[in-house]
Amino acid sequence: MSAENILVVDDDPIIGITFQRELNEEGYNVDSVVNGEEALKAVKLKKYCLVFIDKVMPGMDGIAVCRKIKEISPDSISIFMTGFLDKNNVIKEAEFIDAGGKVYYLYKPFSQGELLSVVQNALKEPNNN
Amino acid sequence: MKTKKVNTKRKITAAKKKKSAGKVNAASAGLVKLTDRLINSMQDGFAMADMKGIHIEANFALCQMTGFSHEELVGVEMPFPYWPPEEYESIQAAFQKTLKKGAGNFELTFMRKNGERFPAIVSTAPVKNSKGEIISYIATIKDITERKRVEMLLRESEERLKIAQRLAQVGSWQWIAATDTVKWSEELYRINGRDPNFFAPTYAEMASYYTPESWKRLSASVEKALRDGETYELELEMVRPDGTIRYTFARGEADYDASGKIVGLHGTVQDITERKQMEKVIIDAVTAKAVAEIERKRADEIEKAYKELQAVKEMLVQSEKLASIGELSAGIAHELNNPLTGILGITRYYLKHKSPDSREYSDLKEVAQAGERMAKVIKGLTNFSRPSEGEMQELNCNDVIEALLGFGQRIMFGENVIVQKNYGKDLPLVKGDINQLQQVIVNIIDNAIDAMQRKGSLKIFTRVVAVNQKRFVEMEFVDSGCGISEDNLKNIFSPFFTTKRPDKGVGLGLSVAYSIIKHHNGEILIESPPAGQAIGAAFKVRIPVAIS
Repeated sequence: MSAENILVVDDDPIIGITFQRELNEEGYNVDSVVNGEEALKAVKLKKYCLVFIDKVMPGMDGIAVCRKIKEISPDSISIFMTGFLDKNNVIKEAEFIDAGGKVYYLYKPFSQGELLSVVQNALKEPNNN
Repeated sequence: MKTKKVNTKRKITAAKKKKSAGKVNAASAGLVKLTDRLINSMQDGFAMADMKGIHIEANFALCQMTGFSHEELVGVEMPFPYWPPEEYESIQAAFQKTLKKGAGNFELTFMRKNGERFPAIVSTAPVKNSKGEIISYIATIKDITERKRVEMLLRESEERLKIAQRLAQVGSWQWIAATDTVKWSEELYRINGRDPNFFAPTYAEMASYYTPESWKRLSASVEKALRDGETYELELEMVRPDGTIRYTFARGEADYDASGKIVGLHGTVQDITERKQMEKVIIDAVTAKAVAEIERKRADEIEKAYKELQAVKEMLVQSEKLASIGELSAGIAHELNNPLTGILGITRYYLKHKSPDSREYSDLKEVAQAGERMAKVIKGLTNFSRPSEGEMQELNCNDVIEALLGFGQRIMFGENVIVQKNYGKDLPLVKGDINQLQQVIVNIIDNAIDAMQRKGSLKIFTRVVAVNQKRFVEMEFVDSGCGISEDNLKNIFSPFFTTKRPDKGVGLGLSVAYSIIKHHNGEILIESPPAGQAIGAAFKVRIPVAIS
């Protein structure tokens, strides 16, 4: 199992590129896709320990993507990024957790340090190994 | 005038001798003696003159009265010593009258020896002999000085009473039952508008002197006074002959005889028309003033209500505007955050791989800094559009402020701002997020310090207020700055509205404060006098009291 594979699902490609630039140097391999369908394809091809999912995307939404990934790759941890805490988000987060994902607060724009700590914390999760 | 002294003694003696030469007897001598005694015992003066005008007798009273001795008077020719020179004419006239008519009563002025004049009633009569020939004149003289004085006093006091009645507009009357006579004072005639030379009206006539209603009350009271001796006091409407109405205050009471029987009535009538009119004028004036006051108050209330309505309307417009701006801001923030995340992340990556001396490095540094600025703006917008839920706990507002001021007062205010804290005692707790509330306070204070150009005074108050039956803790911040213009006041909570220079702020501080306080179900208000007045602005933040 590769601990270093990370997938970023965000309709804005620049987020994927940023993850790559920030994490490649730290020894992580980052792939990025811009929608749910591409994410499922990628998960089928490669084993990812972490999948960062944007909350608002055209097409398949974050929760559906999370659910599908859980079916294809039960060991992958889906991470829901959120910067706010409001009513709508709380509901979404609850649904996301229901679908088998985790919620991390990552405020955009984030620094490299913030990103690294989220990644490291997620990888420490007991059910990861 | 020189008086001619005649030796009367000898003459009288001669006369006596003549008489005694006739049928002289003891009886007649005794009669003369008796007459002398009688004359001398008289209270009034007595004088006798013969046909030649010589004073042949003067009694003791006359001497006393005039101050002349018997010798100084008897035997003296006219004019007599007690005739004042200026009165000769009138005295002579009286004397002539006596000559013609035989007797008379005169009021004359005589003179005492010391020159003092005095009034006297003089009664004169001729003395005739048995043949009916006038042989002499006698006169009695009554000194009426005292009577005159009393008369004058009486006249004076009557005059005074009249004046008093006139001044008080009080007339008086008296009715004697036995003779059915009525007496009115002059003033009572005047009050009634009647001629004082006529008789006072009879009781029956009085009916036409009053309005029917007043007469009904008056006659009932008069009859009761006569029957039971009950005093009455009434306000009446009197009708004058010319038809004008006078308002009077009438008072009447019974008169009793020694046995306690009612024998008549007396009373007073006061003209209170002027007083009534004055009362009416005053009442009218007071009423008019009160009405004006009520109308003014009503107008004020309407204006106040209208202004409040306007304010509420403006607030509604404002909050709707702010809400829509909030939605927009949230959208913008979200849309900008993704690209910005990329810009910042990728820039940071390349900064690490470029030599700090290279041109690319310094350019990328600029990009990173610009990006950081953008991030700050977006963060502010985000906070405005949807402040995070935060950690709500029960707080004492005094502690919230004190923790903030204690932390960095010097840094926040600088050296030239005097802070006066007026904390309310025993403030109830509020539910809130301490970080967010402190952010609000920092934003308000920041604004105040800028308005004062970092020099002046900032007063902080905390208190409990009730608004629409809800209790709030109010924190008030009053600065001594330049104040806020009406136009600026309208936009003060709008995002990106700022009066500061571009490098000093983007105009989100108060917008964020507004949305945080809204989020706390509170209110944020600004009171400001027109800009330019050195009173500055007052910011009021109200947070609902926590219900425990």
